[in-house]
Amino acid sequence: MFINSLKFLLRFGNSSTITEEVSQTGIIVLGDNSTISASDSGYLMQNDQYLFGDGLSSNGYNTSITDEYTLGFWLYPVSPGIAIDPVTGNLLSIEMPVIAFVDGSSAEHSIIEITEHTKTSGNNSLRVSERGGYSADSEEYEPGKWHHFWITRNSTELKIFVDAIENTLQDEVGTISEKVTEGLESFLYTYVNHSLDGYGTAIAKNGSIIDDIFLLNVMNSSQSDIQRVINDGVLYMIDTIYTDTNVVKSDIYMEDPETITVNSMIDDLSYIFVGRNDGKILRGSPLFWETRRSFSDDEEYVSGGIPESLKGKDENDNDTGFLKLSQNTIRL
Amino acid sequence: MATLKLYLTSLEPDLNQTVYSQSIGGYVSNSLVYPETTLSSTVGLYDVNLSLATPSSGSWSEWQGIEYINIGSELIKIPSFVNGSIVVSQRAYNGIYNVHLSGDVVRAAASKELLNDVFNDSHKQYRCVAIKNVSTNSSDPSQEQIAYDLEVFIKQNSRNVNSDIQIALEKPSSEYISGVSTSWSTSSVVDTSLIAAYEDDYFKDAYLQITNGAASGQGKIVASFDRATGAFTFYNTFSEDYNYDIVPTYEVLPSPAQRIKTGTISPNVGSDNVTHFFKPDEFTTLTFFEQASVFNVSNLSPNDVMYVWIERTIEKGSEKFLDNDFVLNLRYKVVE
Repeated sequence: MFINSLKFLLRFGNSSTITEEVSQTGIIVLGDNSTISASDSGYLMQNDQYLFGDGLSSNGYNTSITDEYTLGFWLYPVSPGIAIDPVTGNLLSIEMPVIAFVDGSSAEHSIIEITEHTKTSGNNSLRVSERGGYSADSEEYEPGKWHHFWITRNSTELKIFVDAIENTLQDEVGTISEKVTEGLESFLYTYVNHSLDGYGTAIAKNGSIIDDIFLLNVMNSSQSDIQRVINDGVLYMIDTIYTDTNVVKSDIYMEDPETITVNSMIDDLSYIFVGRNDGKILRGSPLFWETRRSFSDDEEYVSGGIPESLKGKDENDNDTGFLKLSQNTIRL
Repeated sequence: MATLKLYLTSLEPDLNQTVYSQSIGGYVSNSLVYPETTLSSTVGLYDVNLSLATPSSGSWSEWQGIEYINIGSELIKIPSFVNGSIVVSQRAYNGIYNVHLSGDVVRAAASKELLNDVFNDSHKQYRCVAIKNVSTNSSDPSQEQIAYDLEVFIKQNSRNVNSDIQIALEKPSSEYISGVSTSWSTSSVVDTSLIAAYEDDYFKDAYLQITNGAASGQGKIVASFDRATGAFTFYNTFSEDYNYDIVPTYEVLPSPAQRIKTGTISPNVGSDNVTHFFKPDEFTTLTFFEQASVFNVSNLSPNDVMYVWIERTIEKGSEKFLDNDFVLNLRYKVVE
């Protein structure tokens, strides 16, 4: 069962249908292309489509958001580069939509809008814009690798965590309003990869992969919760089956030697006994050691230690890696 | 919240296991699978600067020469290690990126320590490690210290396609208890409060340790337990030097796992006490279900243990044995 504060959850899989899991309602694919490209890795945003969700009975998702929320998602961003102003010739950052929550009125007021912006450095930044006119950017991050974004706010401040590190807010505009949905209902519609401002020279569709989008109606800046979502998965924070669990992890590492040094060997016709320079005595069947090949392969071939006449060959005269019996003895 | 750690096993109780490949069952040793310390600062997904707290031993000597460290599920390649300030060579060496918080456990994953290159004719080798609840109640008695419904699974199997890991769980036949003796001698400890509480020989082969007085820290292996009298009798006697007039407190550690003669012999699996070998994943975990007739082995109270047998199989014809590691995850509920 989901925690009470969870109001929206969108996880992608191999299915051609997408369901928002809190309301159990479908997400609609709109645009010129109705075929989605989604897998367990996430949803690949397309140039000719976007996603729209209108909640239960098309009345929007009942978010119950007033002054707090937490929005998180994984993003594998791309950078289409920098645009050039056709009039001035100046370089322009390209804006790409990510996700937007809008109210259900015909005016479709944008309540929370998340966009990406390209930078001359080749990196991107994420912008959080709210209805009251307030916006703030994350620090720059590198495209071409997975990043986790965690955005949370209350009535006085907004925080952006990228890959679990709290960013210093960049380019803040306006003052954060006390309430997110001031004067509007908290039943919200959702768009993914759809710009409410239209498209132009410096606004383009996003080509990133997005996954595990969740929305809480409370502020949460718990480092341990962020860690659980990133390391273990979003269910470990929102599903009560997992929220009361702890996971202890341990990587057990071993690296076998690539070469061993043998200083003695005897064959009793059943087994081969090998004495190693580190004092270990190994026993193996002839087949086992022939197929291990680890001490009879490249080096001795190169140095000429194994005569060509002893190499096993298949019908195409290719080296089998096995030693060839010669006069009923194995000469090692 | 309970704290669980992995320990090597040893032939005798209360020993440091210095030969890691001899962790083939028996008692819980005093040696962790790997030396460990903690992070001093939070590490984001792609950060390469790590700050490590000085180990509790006060020295980095055990860490010299290591090539990899393990935090969470992530294996990190590091340059020649000198002290607690590291610029890593490669994050996510095993392909798993994790976020790490200040205070998270960092382990020195020393190469060729536990599993080695000696296999049997079926190309298998076996090791046994112990999961121990090392929580103590002293600092915050109100805090939950029991790991409920312990589950074990392999988060990541070997990255070498010619190497395969399976695990089995073995439960100790008796759990940890502590108490106050009503009388004791060189060869036995009696606790009349245990009369009729356990079956005869319930604690056979477990390690009993005195926790107060001149004999504090001294322990003996239990040869028999008498249900009628509450008496523990030992294989070997305590020294005559101890003062037998005091009222000793004692603890009995969980009974040992089976011990195999060499790491190339399979333990006995598929019994009431030992599961078969499996490759459990996050969704199909390995656990013991609660059984009414015995203590709830899936709930690890402080000092309780569970043993994990590791079976490693290599394929015939493997030319190289690189990228060998696996991630063992222990999942438990923090509330009942």
